[in-house]
Amino acid sequence: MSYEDLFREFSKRIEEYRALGVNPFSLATGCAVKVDLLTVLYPAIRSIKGELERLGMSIAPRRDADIFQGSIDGFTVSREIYRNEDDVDQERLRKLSPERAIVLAQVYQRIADNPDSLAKVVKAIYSRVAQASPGIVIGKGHSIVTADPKAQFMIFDYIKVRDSNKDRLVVGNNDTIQIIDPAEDPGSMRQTAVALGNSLNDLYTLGAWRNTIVIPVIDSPSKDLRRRIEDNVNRYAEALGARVVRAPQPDAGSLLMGATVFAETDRKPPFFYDEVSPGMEILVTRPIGELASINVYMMCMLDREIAEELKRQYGIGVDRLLEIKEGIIDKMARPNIEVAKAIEKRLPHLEEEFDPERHIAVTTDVTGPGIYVIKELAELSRASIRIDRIPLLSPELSEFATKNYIIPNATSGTNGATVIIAGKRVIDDIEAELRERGEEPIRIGRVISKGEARVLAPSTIRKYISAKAYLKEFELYEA
Amino acid sequence: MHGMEIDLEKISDGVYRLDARGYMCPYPQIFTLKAIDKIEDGSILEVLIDNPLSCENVPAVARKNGHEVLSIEKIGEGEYRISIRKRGGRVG
Repeated sequence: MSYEDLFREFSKRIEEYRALGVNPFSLATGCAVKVDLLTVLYPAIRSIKGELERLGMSIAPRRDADIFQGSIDGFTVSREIYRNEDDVDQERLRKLSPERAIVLAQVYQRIADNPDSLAKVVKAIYSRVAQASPGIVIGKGHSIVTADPKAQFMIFDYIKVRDSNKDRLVVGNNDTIQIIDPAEDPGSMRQTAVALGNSLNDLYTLGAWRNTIVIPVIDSPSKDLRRRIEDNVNRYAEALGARVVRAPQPDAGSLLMGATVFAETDRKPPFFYDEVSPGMEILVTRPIGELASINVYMMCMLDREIAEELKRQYGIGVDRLLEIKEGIIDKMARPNIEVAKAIEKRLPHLEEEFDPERHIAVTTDVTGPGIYVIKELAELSRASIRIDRIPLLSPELSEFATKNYIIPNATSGTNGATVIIAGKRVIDDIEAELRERGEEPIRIGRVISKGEARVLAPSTIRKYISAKAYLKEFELYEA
Repeated sequence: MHGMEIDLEKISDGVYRLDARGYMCPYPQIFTLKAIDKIEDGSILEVLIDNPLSCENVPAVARKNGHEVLSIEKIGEGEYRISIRKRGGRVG
């Protein structure tokens, strides 16, 4: 296909979005839409945590998912949607008396600009919730930004446990995206599949996949598009053997897709941070950096000079770029359930002790922060980690995206790989199994010492990350 | 902005304004480059943005292309004005 053909198609698609009342340039692709963790979200949460705790609310430690004792049939979920603190019906909340909540906050981007303005908005709603349900635990919070001031809201999925089954755990998570590829129909199965896969990935990364429940989060500018996304959710869930549970939706008229999801497990989650020890190896289940190709493609369509530059510097023409992007989106649209099964097998049963010869110590999934998740694991494990290589789906596109400030962290992804830390024998074993199941596992480094959280990374990382806040978290060595 | 046209306005002689508020990263960067392409060498482009990431990336992409970033001002809650002087054409 020539540039002109692709541009014509792209322009037509942009007009389709506009006809729906959506400006595709006001949507972020995938997990690039998250509130900046390092400079905004974490400082905001730190600043309000103490006050909320005094009100009896606790915010669970930073983890991929909420975890509580019980079974998939032993709890109820009630969804409430708040635009401001006045929407919090404290009477109803007292009657409900939930023990936990999973929260999605979609915040107007001008408020997500700094920790103080974000903290103010979040604190007002959280305080009202805490007053009405003292003792509540916010098990998982997910924050994203929107360019539409009318689309600011918080979704609370309140959890009431009826039966705390002692031989099982429930793992819950919420994740949403606005769009994955603005050059594709927003109601396509692939867009929904990436969004749901991304929600489930936080469960899968903990080895939880059995008896999955999907509670969709869908916002759409049109009824027809919403119905199409709902149909996609049903088909996707059916193929996975998951149950869909209906719940209220924000109805803000913006574009949003994803879900709150739950699954059951009889294994201990891979949070054995104290067991991380020197010599343990680090494996990613497939190459990372999904978002670079989509963003580069968008830029090339918006500006022919960029497309020509890509061809000149890397020999990648638009037809090849399209091919790479499509292949990557296909990968993102595939649920990582094989990874979940492989992880589950290598976790201790609830009554069992961790055994470094048989069990995985720690996992996390690679999403918005990209390779930075290794630093988060280093902090949680108080370990020094050496990264030997950064395995990217397209090193050329990630490099081009960084060089041209198209994406501040070209290692970031959506429904991406899982990082696994374990002893050599376990890594050998899981690598072989994943390869057999058609995955592309790669060993990227190892734990070198305990006591201090450090990540040594090859200086080539500069080719893939331009955001200073992330770069300064690594100690670079000349590769 | 309509279609893929950029919202470029001439304010006075040698001074232009690009309103990229309401856009997500990376679009403000590309619209900035396209706006610079359209103005005369030596003139000033004021870019209005409200996307936190673009605050770092718009100046970076302007400098990378050889232009001069004169100032970055906060003009409201989460809103910024970035003033750029055009210096020559694009750099590959």
